[in-house]
Amino acid sequence: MKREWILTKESFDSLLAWLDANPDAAARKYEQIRTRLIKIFVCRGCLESEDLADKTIDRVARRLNDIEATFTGDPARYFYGVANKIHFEYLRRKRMPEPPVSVNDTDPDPDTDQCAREYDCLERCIQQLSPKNRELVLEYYQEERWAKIEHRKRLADQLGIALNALRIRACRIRASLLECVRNCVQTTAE
Amino acid sequence: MKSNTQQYQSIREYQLGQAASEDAARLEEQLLTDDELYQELLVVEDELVDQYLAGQLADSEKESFETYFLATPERREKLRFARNLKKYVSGNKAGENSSAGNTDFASESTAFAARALPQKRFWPWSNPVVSYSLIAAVVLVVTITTVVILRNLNSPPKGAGKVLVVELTPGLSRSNQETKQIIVPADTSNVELQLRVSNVAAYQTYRAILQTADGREISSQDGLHPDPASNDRMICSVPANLLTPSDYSLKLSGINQHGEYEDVARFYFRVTN
Repeated sequence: MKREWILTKESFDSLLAWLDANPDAAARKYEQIRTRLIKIFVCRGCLESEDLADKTIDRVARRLNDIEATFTGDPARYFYGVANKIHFEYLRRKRMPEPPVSVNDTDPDPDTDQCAREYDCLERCIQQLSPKNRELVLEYYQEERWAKIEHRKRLADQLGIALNALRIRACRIRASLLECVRNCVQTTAE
Repeated sequence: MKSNTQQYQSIREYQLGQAASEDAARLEEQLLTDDELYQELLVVEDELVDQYLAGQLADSEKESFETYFLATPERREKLRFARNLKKYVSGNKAGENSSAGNTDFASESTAFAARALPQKRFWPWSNPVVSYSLIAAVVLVVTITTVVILRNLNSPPKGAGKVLVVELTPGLSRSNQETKQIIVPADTSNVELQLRVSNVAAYQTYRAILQTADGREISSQDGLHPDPASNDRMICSVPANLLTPSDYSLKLSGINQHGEYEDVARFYFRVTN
C-alpha cells in the first residue's frame, strides 16, 4: 500500500527557501499563493477548496528536489500547473455529479437562526471598526443604482481618492468584517 | 493588454463560469502573480453579490450566479453576509432619520401632544378675506408656473448643445484592435451611439445598458427599436454629461418571444479629453 507523504518541518522550510531567500518575504509569498489557490478552486466550484490548495502545496514540496534543479521562473506558475492536476484528480474522484443548487439553497431565508446569529455578529464587528472605517462602510453601501454611483463619486471626492481606490478600500474593510463575523459566529457557537 | 473595461468583463465572466476555458486559464495563471488583478477579482466578486441582491443582474447572469457562482459554501456565506450588511446599512440609515424625531415612539408622542393641545389656526391672519385672497394668489402663481414648465418640456430646447454621432462595432473585447476613442466637445448635449448589429431584425425591442470599466451602471434604456432607416443599426442616445473620460462598455440585449432578455452584443469605447 502506498504510504501517504507528509509535509515535515524540513520540507516546509525548503519550500519557503525556494520561494524567497528572505524568510519574511517567503512567508508572505507562501500565504499569497495559498490564498489565491483557494480562490481559484472556489471559482471553479470546488467544495474542498482549502484542502485542494493544501494538497497542491504538499505535492510541490514533495517534488521540490526535482523542481529546483530544472524549473526556472516564478514559482507561483509551477503551483498553478500542479493545481490543475489536483483539480483534474478531484473531478475524477467525484463519483456522482454535484446536485444542482436549488434556489432555496442559494437564497437562504434571512430569518433563519444562522442568519440571525451572523447579523448579531455583524453588528458587533461594525462597532469594532475604527470610526473612519465604520463611516466609510455606512456611506459606501448607501443608496441604490444611479444614486449609488453619484454617491460614491462624491464620497471619493470627499476622501480625495480615485473611485477605484475607494472600491478597493471598501472591499478590504468588507473582507475584514466578513472574517470578524466568521470568528464571532464560531466563538458564540462554542 | 486589456483595457479596464475588458479586464472587468473578463473577471465577471470568469466568476460566473461564462469564460472560455483558455481565457479562464490565462486569468487564473495571472491571478497568482498579479496583485492588482487579484484585488480586482475580489472587488468584482463583492459587486456581483450586491448586484444580485439588488436585482441588477441580466437574466443570463442571474442564472449563472444561482447555478454556478453560488455552488460553493464560501460564496453562499458571502451572499448571507451581503444581505446582512445591506440590512444593517439600510437600518442604520433609517436610524439616522429616526434620530431626527421620526421614531415610532416620537410619532406616538407627537400624536398624543396634538390631541392634548388646543388646535392652532392654519393661517396666521385673523381676517379670513386676506387669507383666502393670499391662497388664491398662490394657486394662480402655481398654475401659471406649471403651464410654463409643461410648455417648455414639450418644445425642443432652445440653444441646446450639439449631438455627437459615434458609430460602434461590437465584440472588441477579445480582439487586438484598439478600443474606439471618443472626444466629447464641451458644447455637446447628447452623444448618439450608432450600434452596428448584424441581424437587427432578430428582435423587435432592445435594451442598452451603459457601464463604466468598473461595472458601474451609467444608464439603462429599455424599449429601443431598430433604426427604420437601416437594417444593421441601433441608435442609443446618451446625455453627454454622463460620459466623463473613462472606459465604457455598452451591453445590448434583445427581448425574445418569451419576454426574456438575450445578450446580443457588447460595444467598448473610451472617452478621452
